[in-house]
Amino acid sequence: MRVAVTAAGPSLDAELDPRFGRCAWFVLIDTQDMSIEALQNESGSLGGGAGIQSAQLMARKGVQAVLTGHCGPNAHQTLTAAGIAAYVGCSGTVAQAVARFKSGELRPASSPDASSHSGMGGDHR
Amino acid sequence: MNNQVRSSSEGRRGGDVRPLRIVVASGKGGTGKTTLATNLAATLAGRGMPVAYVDCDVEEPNGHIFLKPEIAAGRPVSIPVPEVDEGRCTLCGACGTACRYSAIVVLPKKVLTFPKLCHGCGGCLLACREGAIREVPRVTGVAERGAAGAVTFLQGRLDIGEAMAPPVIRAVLSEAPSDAAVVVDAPPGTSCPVIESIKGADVVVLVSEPTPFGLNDLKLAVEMVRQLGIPFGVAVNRAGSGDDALGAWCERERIPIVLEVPNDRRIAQAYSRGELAIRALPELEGAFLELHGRLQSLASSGVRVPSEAARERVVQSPAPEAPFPSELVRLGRPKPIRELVVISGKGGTGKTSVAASFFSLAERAVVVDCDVDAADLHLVLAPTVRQPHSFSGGRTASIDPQRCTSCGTCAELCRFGAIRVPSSGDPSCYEIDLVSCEGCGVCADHCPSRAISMAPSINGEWFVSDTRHGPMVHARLGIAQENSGKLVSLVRKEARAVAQAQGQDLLICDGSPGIGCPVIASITGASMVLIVTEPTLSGLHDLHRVADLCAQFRLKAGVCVNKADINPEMTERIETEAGRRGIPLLGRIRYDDSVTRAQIRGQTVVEFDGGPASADVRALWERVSDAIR
Repeated sequence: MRVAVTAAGPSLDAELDPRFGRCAWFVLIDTQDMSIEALQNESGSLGGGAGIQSAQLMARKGVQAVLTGHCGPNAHQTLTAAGIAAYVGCSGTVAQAVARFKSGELRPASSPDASSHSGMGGDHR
Repeated sequence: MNNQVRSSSEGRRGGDVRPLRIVVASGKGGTGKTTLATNLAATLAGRGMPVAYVDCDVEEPNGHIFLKPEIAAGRPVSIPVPEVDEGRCTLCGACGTACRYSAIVVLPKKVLTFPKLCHGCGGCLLACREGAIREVPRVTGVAERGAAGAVTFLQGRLDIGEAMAPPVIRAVLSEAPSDAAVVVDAPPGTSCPVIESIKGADVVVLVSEPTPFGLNDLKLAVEMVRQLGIPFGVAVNRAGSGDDALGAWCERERIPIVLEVPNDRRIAQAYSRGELAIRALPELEGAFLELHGRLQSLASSGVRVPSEAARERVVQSPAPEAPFPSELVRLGRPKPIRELVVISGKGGTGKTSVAASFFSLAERAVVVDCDVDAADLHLVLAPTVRQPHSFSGGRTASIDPQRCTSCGTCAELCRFGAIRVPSSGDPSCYEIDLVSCEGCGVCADHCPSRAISMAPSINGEWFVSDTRHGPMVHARLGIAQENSGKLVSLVRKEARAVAQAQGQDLLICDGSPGIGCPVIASITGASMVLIVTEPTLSGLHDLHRVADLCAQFRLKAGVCVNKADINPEMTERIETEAGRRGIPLLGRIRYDDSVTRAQIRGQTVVEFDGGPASADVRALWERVSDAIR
């Protein structure tokens, strides 16, 4: 299964970036063999629609689950439409988040947990 | 749709006495723009002249408070947004590629639309080869028409949470009569909604006040009107209340002062009650009639054509190719940084003075000027710029004259009237009106000769600076530039990075006025919003709208009433209203001319003296810093 983690850097030991649309990197992990592919988030600097573009990228890359901190309404809607599960409230390193996901500790979010534009520079509680 | 900047000399030759279209604008909010516009319209109507008042300040329309119109009809304003017929759609992805706004995305098994992000350019419709897209209207506001006595009353209102004012402004202006004098009340600032309101004006009155903030914002507004090439004059409100710098500057720049409104308490009181100044001081009617006479001679004195060189310099300053250094990856867990945003809805309520004072009282804070259209915070904080950066807010079209065959396809497809068909000179090439260009890319995608490219437009600067109280992140949006929301988001993000790097744990942001795009960008995700209002009917009206906005974004808010003792009764009404909405009252600030005197001295009021305003702001700060914890 292909899982994407929003991250501050391109590796398994990077910190998880709590923003979805405006994270620095997406680390894509194959949960079978733990092979990774890191993608720099090009939409981080878009004026608007970063969450939508990121979700679209996840769909194109065949991702089935996204592990992140927060997910806004537009991104959540796009992920859901693409059949991708969003797991919010994740923290720690990329490897830790994936380990928790594999052990079944995480539950997918059924609704967005952040307001629009919140990754633009706001307070991440 | 009149999207071109109309030459004001047209139709005025040969003694034609077509009535004037006068636009009342100001760089800074709260300078008395609405006071001037409503009183001018009422004075002209009182002399039997056919006149229409048009409120284009669609984010915070306040003219109705003074003219008390009967609204007879309202027409919804909408923009066309796509609807996809899934039966016909082949999921080819062409629409998603064409859309520059992420308003339509094609997923492996589905097409999604985001109507709120759509600018209505029609690009997706043109891109779809299957005929699977049709357009449906989405309402973003209303254009209302009525009468206030003999004055024809027109106003636009943008729905709360909507970012795009220009379509509502275009709709309301399209109803302005051509056989009556038209007084347009423009929004404050120098960004796209203001430009939209000024298009087609015969003459512009820029209202200012004799304070350092007033002069600074006037300079920006003057630059804007000069670029548009429309004759203008300056009206000085509260004349005699500040210093002489404004008058001296106008004289040096050879800008006529067309009106001086005295700093009279009776005018302020009439305003706070929602009454016309000419009712409180009938002798003012004479002054408004003289104003009209001066504007007539200014309008007929000829157009100031903008120098092409000046236009080029502003819109196409050299583009740095390198991306912002801010995109560097930052490792490590971010530590919590709280963010206070000071906003007002209405301009000129003292937001900047309050934010600057907080900054001088706070320990370990970074101050952020989010009022990128009319930044004033630097006047008080005297920053030393450490790092200047250019800001690119998007892309705009440019036509290669070598390739253009003047087939006219671009002009036909552009929905924003941004393609100029040159009437004289070289008829072989069409031109882009960069002020109107929305960057949708429809022209570039459909030019048969591939003569159009979309180039990043540089439309502002931002700075990381040092001040006597700590770091400051601020910006300046180029005149008539778009994407102020994106620049606001950028300065907030950068300020957070500065705080992170230097160990500050609080951001104090001076927000933008209004409820549109830049304000939404100022407040989203903030820890707390402080609404600074004033005890006037306009203040109350705008509090409603700005409180709705905070509620929509689920933000913690507090309110404070500035100049509370000017109208104690109204102060109570505002406080009751805030209480009813569950917004705690965090303080009252008494009227104190030390605020202006401190500004002239380049100080915050708490640094300047220990007078009433200073004491009240200190008390307010105590409560705000408790509330934000």
